[in-house]
Amino acid sequence: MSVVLEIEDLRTYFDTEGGLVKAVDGVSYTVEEGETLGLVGESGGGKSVTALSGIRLIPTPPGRIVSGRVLYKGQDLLELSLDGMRHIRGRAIGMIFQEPMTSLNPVLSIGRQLTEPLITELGLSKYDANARAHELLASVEISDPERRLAQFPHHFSGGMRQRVMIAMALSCNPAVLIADEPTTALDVTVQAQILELMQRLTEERGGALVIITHNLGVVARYADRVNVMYAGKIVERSSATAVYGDPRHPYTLGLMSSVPRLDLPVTERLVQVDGQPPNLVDLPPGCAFQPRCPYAQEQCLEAVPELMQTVDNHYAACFIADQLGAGAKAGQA
Amino acid sequence: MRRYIGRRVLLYFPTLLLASMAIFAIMRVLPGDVTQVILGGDQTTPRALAQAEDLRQRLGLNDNIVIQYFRWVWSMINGEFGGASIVSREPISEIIARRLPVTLELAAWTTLIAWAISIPSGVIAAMYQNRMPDYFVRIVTVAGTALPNFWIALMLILIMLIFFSWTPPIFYLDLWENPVQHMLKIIWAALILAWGYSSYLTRVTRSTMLEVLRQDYVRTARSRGLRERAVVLRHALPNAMIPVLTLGGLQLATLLSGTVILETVFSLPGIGQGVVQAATERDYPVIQSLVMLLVTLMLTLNVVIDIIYAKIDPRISYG
Repeated sequence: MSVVLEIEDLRTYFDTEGGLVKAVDGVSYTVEEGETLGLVGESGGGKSVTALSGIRLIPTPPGRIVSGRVLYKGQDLLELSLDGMRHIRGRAIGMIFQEPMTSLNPVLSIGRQLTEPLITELGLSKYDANARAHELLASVEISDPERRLAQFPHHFSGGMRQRVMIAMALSCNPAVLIADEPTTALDVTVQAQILELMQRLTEERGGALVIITHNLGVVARYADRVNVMYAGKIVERSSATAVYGDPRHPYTLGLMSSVPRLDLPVTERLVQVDGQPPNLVDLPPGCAFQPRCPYAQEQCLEAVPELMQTVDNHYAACFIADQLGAGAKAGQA
Repeated sequence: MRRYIGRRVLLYFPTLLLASMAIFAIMRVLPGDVTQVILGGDQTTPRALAQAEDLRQRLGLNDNIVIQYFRWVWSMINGEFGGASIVSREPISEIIARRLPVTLELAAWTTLIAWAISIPSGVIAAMYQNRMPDYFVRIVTVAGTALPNFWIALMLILIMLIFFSWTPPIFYLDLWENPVQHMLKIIWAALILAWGYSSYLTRVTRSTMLEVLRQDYVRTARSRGLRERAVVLRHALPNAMIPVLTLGGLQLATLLSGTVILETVFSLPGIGQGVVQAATERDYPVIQSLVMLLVTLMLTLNVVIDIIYAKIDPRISYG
């Protein structure tokens, strides 16, 4: 499989009143053709900023990309002119956002929003663009496209709007689709439908899908590979099965045991990751997770652990990753 | 949509009725007696008092106030507009026919100039927030909202006189009679009014644009590779226009009261100048009819704006 998107040592900082926030601090990962990649972590861990930096939609100021490279098929997107970047957005990399309620323009009809880049960017005629819009709506399983295209976002429910967002993101056939918390704002019943739909469509088109989420269940079910992020860094990376079956970072371990389980008695208290997510302005010394880590040792205070391979293609940024085998996990639960 | 317009128009009539009552009532409680103005001289002799009483009788001022009100309202409807001036005896309908076009033209120029300036400059200021174009726009608009328009008008006349030895034409001529002289007379008032009006509109446009540009759907538009121009003009601007239109409509009241002042300063024979003149003469039928006319104008414009508003924002006529 060839790599479509490669993020290399990306650093995106925000200048805030409280000080410098290193929202993304040296993140590297690759997206391979046809795969579904999961990006997991708590809110404020830098998942969305990583994705938005990739297509350079970070609000500047206060945000700025300090260093790194974003290679799309070998081309560094951070070096492109604004106009060059425009051609990447939508056509090479498509995005779906978290908030379907506010991500569609309230004063333009669905048809108008769907066909706009087809006409202005791809140069389709109005007639062809309309036909394509019909197809797109049908592909995201919205019935009666004729009537739906003339309607406005306020006529649609949240799930329907997210379907429209998917249709819009796919309209120019991007090679990579980045979905930033695509189901967080939706009803649980609709979440699965939307995810299935996204995966089916990316599979059909042979593109790659990046799902950004804090929901481990979503990742377990849909992702091929997983990157776990904490405080602007990737702390664990492997295939979804390996991360689930054999987590090698205490943070991942904590996340897993905090998922409510139906097979355990209700009286059992939910295990939580103790402490607060770190203050990004004032990170603790050494490993950022160290104050909340049950396994913290002296060396964790002194140095920042690098992302290193523990077993085959399983990387973790923890000094004791090798010891965190099945035995340690049992002790935790 | 049709139901929305229907409802909006239906509200228009009760509002007019309330306004007419208020205007009529205010005219009755104002001090000053029209008979004194008409008769003049010493008003304390028994003979003068009898004369005044006689005049009041003839003018219908001694009738029941409710009857007077309805007589006036009826005359507004049947086109007599409250009869004739007490002072000059000119029928009010003729006064209106003579003066209304001047005010409408002044208001039209002002609105045209103001909107043509304020939307682009508001958008530009928002796009270049905290940079040179934004500072420039902000300075000009702060001055425009802070300086009273009569003062600007007087300064303008002085400057033109002192530095260019030029004054606007003394007599008002019809647009068709002498377009150049007509424009030279009316354009100053229009420009000054437009400065004040557009300053307000520009500031509202700027701040709503800034807000709209941060919305999720603008990010969506950008993420789809649309040109920045399309993002700003097609995706952001229509959303920003909704509050601008409403506030711009409300601000028309200020604009109309501005015409009263500037028509007087530049001696433009419009409704505003007519009201001022009638007020100094206690010519109450003229005052109340002209003020009623201004109010009707104002309310009509607001209905029109509400309809435009619903055309831009599909959510308004919905539900």
